[in-house]
Amino acid sequence: MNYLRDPRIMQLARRRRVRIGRRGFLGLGLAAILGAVWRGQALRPGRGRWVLRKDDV
Amino acid sequence: MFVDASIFPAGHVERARICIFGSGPAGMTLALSLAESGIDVLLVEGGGLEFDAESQALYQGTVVGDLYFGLDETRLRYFGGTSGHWGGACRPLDPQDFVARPGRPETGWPIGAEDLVPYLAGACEILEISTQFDDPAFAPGLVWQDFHFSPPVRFGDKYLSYCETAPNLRVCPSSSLVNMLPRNTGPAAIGTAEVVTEPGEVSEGDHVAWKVEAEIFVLCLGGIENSRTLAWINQQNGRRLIREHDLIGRYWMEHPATWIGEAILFDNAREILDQIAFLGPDWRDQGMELYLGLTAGKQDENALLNVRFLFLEQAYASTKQLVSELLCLAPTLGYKLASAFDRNLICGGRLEAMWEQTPDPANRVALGEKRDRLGIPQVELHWRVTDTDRKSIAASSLEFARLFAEHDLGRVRLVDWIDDETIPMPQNLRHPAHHHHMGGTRMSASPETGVVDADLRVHDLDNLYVGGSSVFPTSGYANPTLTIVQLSLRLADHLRTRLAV
Repeated sequence: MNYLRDPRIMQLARRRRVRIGRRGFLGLGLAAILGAVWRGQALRPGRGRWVLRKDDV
Repeated sequence: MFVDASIFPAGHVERARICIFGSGPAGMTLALSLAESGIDVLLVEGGGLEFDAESQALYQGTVVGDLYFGLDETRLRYFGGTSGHWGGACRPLDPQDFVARPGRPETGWPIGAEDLVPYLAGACEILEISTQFDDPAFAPGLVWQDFHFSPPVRFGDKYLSYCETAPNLRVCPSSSLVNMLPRNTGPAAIGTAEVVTEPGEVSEGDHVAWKVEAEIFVLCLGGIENSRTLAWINQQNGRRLIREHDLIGRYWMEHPATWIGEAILFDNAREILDQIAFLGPDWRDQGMELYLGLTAGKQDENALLNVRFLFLEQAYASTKQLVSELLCLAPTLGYKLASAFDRNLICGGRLEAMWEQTPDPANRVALGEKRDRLGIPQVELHWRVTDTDRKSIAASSLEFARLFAEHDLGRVRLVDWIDDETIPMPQNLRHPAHHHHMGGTRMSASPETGVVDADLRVHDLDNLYVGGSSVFPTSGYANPTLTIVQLSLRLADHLRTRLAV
C-alpha cells in the first residue's frame, strides 16, 4: 500500500497543512503589528500639521 | 592601592582624611584630584571591579508614575560606576540654566556658569574631548548646539591601573555604605561610617562589617543612590541629621525624550546639512549631528524651559512622502520642492526633542517598603512628565517650526498633540528618557529650599558633602557627565582649601 496515498493520511496532512498555515499567517500578522508598535508607527496620534507660510499655498 | 576589606577583622576601623563613597565619574574625579594633592583618600565602591549581577541587583526598585527604565538597568554598580555604559555625549550647561528665570518656578542655582568655567578644561581633559564649545547662531532665534563626544571614557578601565599604584589613595571595592553615626552632638554630626564588604575568596561566609573614621565624607553614589542613602542615613539617626529631611529625594529630574514631528531642510540650510550624520551603530564616527535650540531670548519671551531639537535624516522614500504631501497642501511650495528634490537639494528628517524638566517636588526618590539584602529600603522612584513640561515642549516646538518657516530654512510638520491639548502626549516606549538622573539632593542657598549648599556640603552638617548630578537644581538639556566632572573638580578645590593643603 502506498502509505502517502492513504486518504486518511492525506486528509490529516491537509488538515495539518491548513492548521500550520493559519498559525503561520497569524504569527506573521502578529509580528507585523508588534513591529509596527515597536517602531512607534501604530501609536502616532495622527498625521500632524505643517507649519507653513502664507506664500507657500 | 586596592584594599581587600573582606579580610578585615570584625569591628575594624579604617581611617582617612577624606572618605568618598562611589567610584563613578564624580567620585573617581574627586578622589584622584585630592590624592594627587597629597591628601589621604579612601575610596569605597559598593560594587566589585567587574560587573556582577548579584551586586547590580541591589539597585532594584520600583517606579511610580510614567513609564521608565528598570532601576537596575539604568545605572551600573561596579568600579567606574555608570560610566561603564554611558554614550559619551558632552556639553556644558547653558548660562541661562543657572539663572532663576521668570515664569519658570524653582529654577536657579546658587552658583553661576562662570563658577564652573575654570574647571571646563580639566573636565574635558578627563573626558578626552576638545574644550571648544561654539554655538553659532543658525538663524535669528535659533542656535546650533555644539556637542562633543567622549570615546566614551570608562572611568573603571581608564583608572584601574593608576588606582593600583596611586599614592595617598586606597580603594575598597565590594564595600557598601550602610550607616553613618553621630560623632558629637551639635552640627558636626558625622564622624564614622559603617560599611559592609561582600565575603571574598579568602574570607567565606557572612559580610564583613567595618567602620571608617574620616574628617570629611563625600557621597558620590549616583543621581538616585545619593538621595536613597542620605534618606536612609537620616532615618536611622532619628531624622536628626538633616533638619529639612522632607526635601531629600525631591525635585528629581530626567531629560524626557519625545519625537515632535518631521521636517524638510532646504538648500538655505545647506552649510548645516553638510554636518548632518546618520544615526547608526557607528554614528559617532560619522561626525556631528544637527542639534538645534532656541536662543535664551526666545525662551524668555515665552517663559520656556531649555530644549534640544535633534534632526535625524531619514530615508529617501520618507522625504518623498513629505514632498508629495506638500504638493497637495501647499502647491506653490510643493512644486519648488519637487524640483529641488529631484536635484537632491533638500533633505527630510525626524525631529526629536530632549528638554529640561521643570523641577517638581512631586518627582522624587523615596524609600520603598521592600528591602534589599543589606537591609536598606529599595528605591521607590516617583516620576512623571508634568503638564508644565508638556506645555513648554509644545510651545517650544511651535516656536521652532515657526522660526524655521519664517527664515525659509525648511518646513516642519508637528505631531497632533503639540497644538491639541485633548490628545495625550504619547510616551516614547523604547526611549522615554535619557538615563540622566538629576536632582534629589539639590543645591540651594538655604536649607529650606535644598539639601546641599553652594560648596556641596549638606546643610546643617559640617563634614558631609554630596557630589554628582543629584545636586543639580535644574537640569538644562545637556547630558550631565561634563557638569558632574566640573563640579567634582570644583569640590576638590574647595576641600583642598578647607584642609589647608
